[in-house]
Amino acid sequence: MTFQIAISGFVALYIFMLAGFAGWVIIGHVPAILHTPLMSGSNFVHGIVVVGGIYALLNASTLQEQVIGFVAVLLGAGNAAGGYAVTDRMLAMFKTSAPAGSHAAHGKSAKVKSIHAKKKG
Amino acid sequence: MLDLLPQLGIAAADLAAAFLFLYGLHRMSSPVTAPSGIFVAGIGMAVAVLASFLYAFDVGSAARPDLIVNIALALVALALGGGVAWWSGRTVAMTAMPQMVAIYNGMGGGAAGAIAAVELYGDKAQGMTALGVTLLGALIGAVSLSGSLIAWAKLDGVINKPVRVKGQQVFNGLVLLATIVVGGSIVGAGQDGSGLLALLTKPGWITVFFGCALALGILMTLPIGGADMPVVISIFNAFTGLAVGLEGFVLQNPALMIAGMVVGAAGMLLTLLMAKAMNRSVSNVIFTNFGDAPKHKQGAIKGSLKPMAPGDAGIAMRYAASVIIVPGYGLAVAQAQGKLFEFVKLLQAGGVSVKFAAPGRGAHARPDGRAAGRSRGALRPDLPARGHQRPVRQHRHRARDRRQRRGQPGRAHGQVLADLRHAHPQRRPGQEGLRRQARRRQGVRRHRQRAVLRRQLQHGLRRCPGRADLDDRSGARPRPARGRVTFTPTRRLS
Repeated sequence: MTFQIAISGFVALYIFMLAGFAGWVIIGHVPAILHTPLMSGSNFVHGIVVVGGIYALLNASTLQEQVIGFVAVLLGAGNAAGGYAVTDRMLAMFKTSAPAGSHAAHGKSAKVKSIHAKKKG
Repeated sequence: MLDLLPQLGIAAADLAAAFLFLYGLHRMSSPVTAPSGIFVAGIGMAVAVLASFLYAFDVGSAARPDLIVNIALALVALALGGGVAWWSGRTVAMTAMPQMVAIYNGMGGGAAGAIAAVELYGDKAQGMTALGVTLLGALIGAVSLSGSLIAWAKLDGVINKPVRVKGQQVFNGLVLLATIVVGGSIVGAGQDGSGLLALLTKPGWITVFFGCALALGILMTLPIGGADMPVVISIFNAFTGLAVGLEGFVLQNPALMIAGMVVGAAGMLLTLLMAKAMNRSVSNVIFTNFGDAPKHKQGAIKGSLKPMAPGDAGIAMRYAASVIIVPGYGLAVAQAQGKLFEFVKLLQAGGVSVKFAAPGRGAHARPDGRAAGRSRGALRPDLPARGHQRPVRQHRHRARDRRQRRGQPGRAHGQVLADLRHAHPQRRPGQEGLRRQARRRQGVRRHRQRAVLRRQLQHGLRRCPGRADLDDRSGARPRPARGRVTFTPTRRLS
């Protein structure tokens, strides 16, 4: 018995097709202001390549493979970490500073909201 | 059973990571849930990276002696690459973000290319399919690496001018062809390198292949201008995703395949969307028709219209600090004042400052203050739509009251000369007294108050028939023929 995954031939094409379709649909009707954050976010997601780099490095048996594998992990880790940092900073601009319920882009509206709340109370 | 646990752990972690990536990207496609989306994807990444060290239990016999060193190397590389990139990503100025995305994307492409290099130099990819896919991944990854670096250099101002040489596209095509030929001969060659040209050994040809691919990325990107770089980075982003997916197939890792392919497809769509939003077609960007495009015919209409989906417009306005609405004729025709009122209320509830560049109404309505091409009264926002809507007036002053050119000739206030309003039609001196009372100074007059006091009429019947049109209101009424006595009511009857 083994859990070894064997992906070959058409199974791989099925995975590619379904994943590609999923990516296409998920991005579907994204508003223009999210283009750059999403580009950065998907840039982060393909940082998963670091996993492949770790696999290649752990299985390296010659110095040449070790060097290239080291570079692969180095670059992949940079892709993942940097992609996350940049995307997080971009998306932080969409974060609300008001309590749950409002999703304003700037602190001004939160101020207005609190004033309104006071008036009501 | 104990041997199977690492495999099971890796498979489960990869499955979880693939799901978290998809879910995170889905959350990122809406501005409300976007900040949490990257966090979800980050969890997926952490799970996958941690689980990847379970590969250590599953190492082939050849690499077993070096395992400890390799694990140490992996940890050092993770800490070094991740740390430096994290630090730079956190500290870089907000305006420098695009080039950072470019360089991180190039890193991903480079990592995919390096994995392919390990597989190729180590002769690990066996069989035509695996070899072909590895080479394709290597090509795309290497192009993405060098292209992204050029994009970074352009955005960062290291390279300032697009480098364009005549016949460049032909040359690029030749380089691409050479790369494919070299790759094809590597695939077709035997295990020992037989079938290749005897000029180089197999590793030598692999090096040539990588060299060609890197050169192709540079040559492709150099002629493209800096303004098109966002689209180019998006293309390379999709490329890297594709390369990662292909290498994932070679390594038999479904998480890499799914994440890479999702990014490949999403990146392609994003590229199309971005190019559309920038009014550039993707082929225009890649084949750098930028310089050729503006050759319009004489008298042709220049400029371009950027259509916007209602959803996009709504989101853009919701996240704006201030919105100025210029109501057009279509709004009046569609009787959409009621809907506009609701819309403005929603915006104001969200803290957006809404102003109207209101078209003509009141005494100061000039042609420049009206709805496009319409006469006065074509659109009166203060008229109740369907009889029950109240006008939206957050503030007394409209945007055009505050603008810089107030008081200059030809503008809203310049043409109403209080002095001449009561002048005689035949340019003889008019009444003197009223002019003295003209409240011409700003601040003395209140909103919509006339600069000149209205004439006190003692009689319903005008004495000077020629001046009937100058009396009340605006002078829009037809001037009666001179020399006839006309009756004019002192007040409007309606």
